[in-house]
Amino acid sequence: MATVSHDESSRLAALRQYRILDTEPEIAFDDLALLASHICETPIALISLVDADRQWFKAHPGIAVTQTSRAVSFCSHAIEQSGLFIIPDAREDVRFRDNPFVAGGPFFRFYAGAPLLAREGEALGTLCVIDRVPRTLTDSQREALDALRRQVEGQLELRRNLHELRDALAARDRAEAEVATLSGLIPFCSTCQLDLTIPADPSAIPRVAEGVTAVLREKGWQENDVIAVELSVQEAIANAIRHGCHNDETKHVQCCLMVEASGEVVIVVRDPGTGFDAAAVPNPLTSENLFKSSGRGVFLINTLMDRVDFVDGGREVQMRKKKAAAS
Amino acid sequence: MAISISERSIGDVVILEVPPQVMFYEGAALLRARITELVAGGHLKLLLDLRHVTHLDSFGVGVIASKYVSLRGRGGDLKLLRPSPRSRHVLSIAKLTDIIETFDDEDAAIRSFEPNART
Repeated sequence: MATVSHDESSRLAALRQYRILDTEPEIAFDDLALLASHICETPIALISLVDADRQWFKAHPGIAVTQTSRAVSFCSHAIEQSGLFIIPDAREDVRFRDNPFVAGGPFFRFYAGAPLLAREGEALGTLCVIDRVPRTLTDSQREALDALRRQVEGQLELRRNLHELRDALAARDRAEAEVATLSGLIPFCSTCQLDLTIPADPSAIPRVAEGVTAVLREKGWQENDVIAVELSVQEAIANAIRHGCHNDETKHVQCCLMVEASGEVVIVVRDPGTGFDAAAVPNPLTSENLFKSSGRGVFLINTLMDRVDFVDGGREVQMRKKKAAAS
Repeated sequence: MAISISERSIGDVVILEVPPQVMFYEGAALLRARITELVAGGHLKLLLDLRHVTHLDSFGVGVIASKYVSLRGRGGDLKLLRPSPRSRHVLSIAKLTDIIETFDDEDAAIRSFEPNART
């Protein structure tokens, strides 16, 4: 019976990082396995990855099977070793003489496996050679097998690096797309008195609210109106974070403020979400909604501001309020 | 630092002193949870002291509204004490100041919970 290491979960986690299980054959791995077979003069060579319950072969010259149960795996033993694992004659080895691959076809007798290590040091599987007669390897064959083992590890690392690079590029593309969406905000943004992009984190709301109130107070707005605008901005950003970004702090909300020559303030809040139908939001003042726990944000904004437009499918709210005449 | 709501009782009325950050964004969920616990423990007369609440948003209003109707449905009551002008404004837009009794004086608020009290 094959043994399972105590830190098996971290070994399997490392194996997953290479995303190699169940992939198509690749010439680079096939060639290295073939070279191992020729140099060691064995009819069979394998590049074997040891999964939770099976061993799967990335390359397998000399044998047709592509995977076996881990319970009958020689490689499961090999990955427990720090160096080359050699069984000169499996039929004479108490650990393997009853193995179905030894006792029956294909009648394995000789096995030599070099553990393939992940960059974290975990053993992923082996480069191994197998013969149907008892034998051993010469010193030069051992050295060559070890050199080929390093080449296989290099190919595995190359594959993992490519995956990580693709992931990083995809993440960059997503971030750029989000920035493009946000920067495509409002044409009048070049004249904004305030233009803030914040992460979808409610603790950032006061920063925007303080920016808005500072602009309005500097413009001489009455305190009641300052509070009304501040509340509306808070509600709009809270909705953007909660519904547009689903509280995902990797996403962003943009808020712009412009004070027009007429004194009217225009505030735009935009999120990267899928939008919503503002017209479908129920009136919270009706008797059936008056005591509900939610559904007042849009109503508050509509009440506090002079004009509110939801555009781009609800992803953007444009709020306007005129400055009250001095009393 | 964990946010906590301080409490004290006068007779069978529990006064909840609501800290400022609890009524903003989803912080009000803390108040909702605490009221749920109190109701489960048989405390049905609650007075929310809002004097420290500088920012009350729609989520906080929603918690107050839903817990008010929940307590009234159980024969209890929820009343408000000393909301700031700003909080009072938000509550009035939501039409809750017309319905939920609101006081500036704590003694008057406590007396109003007594049977046959006239407010």
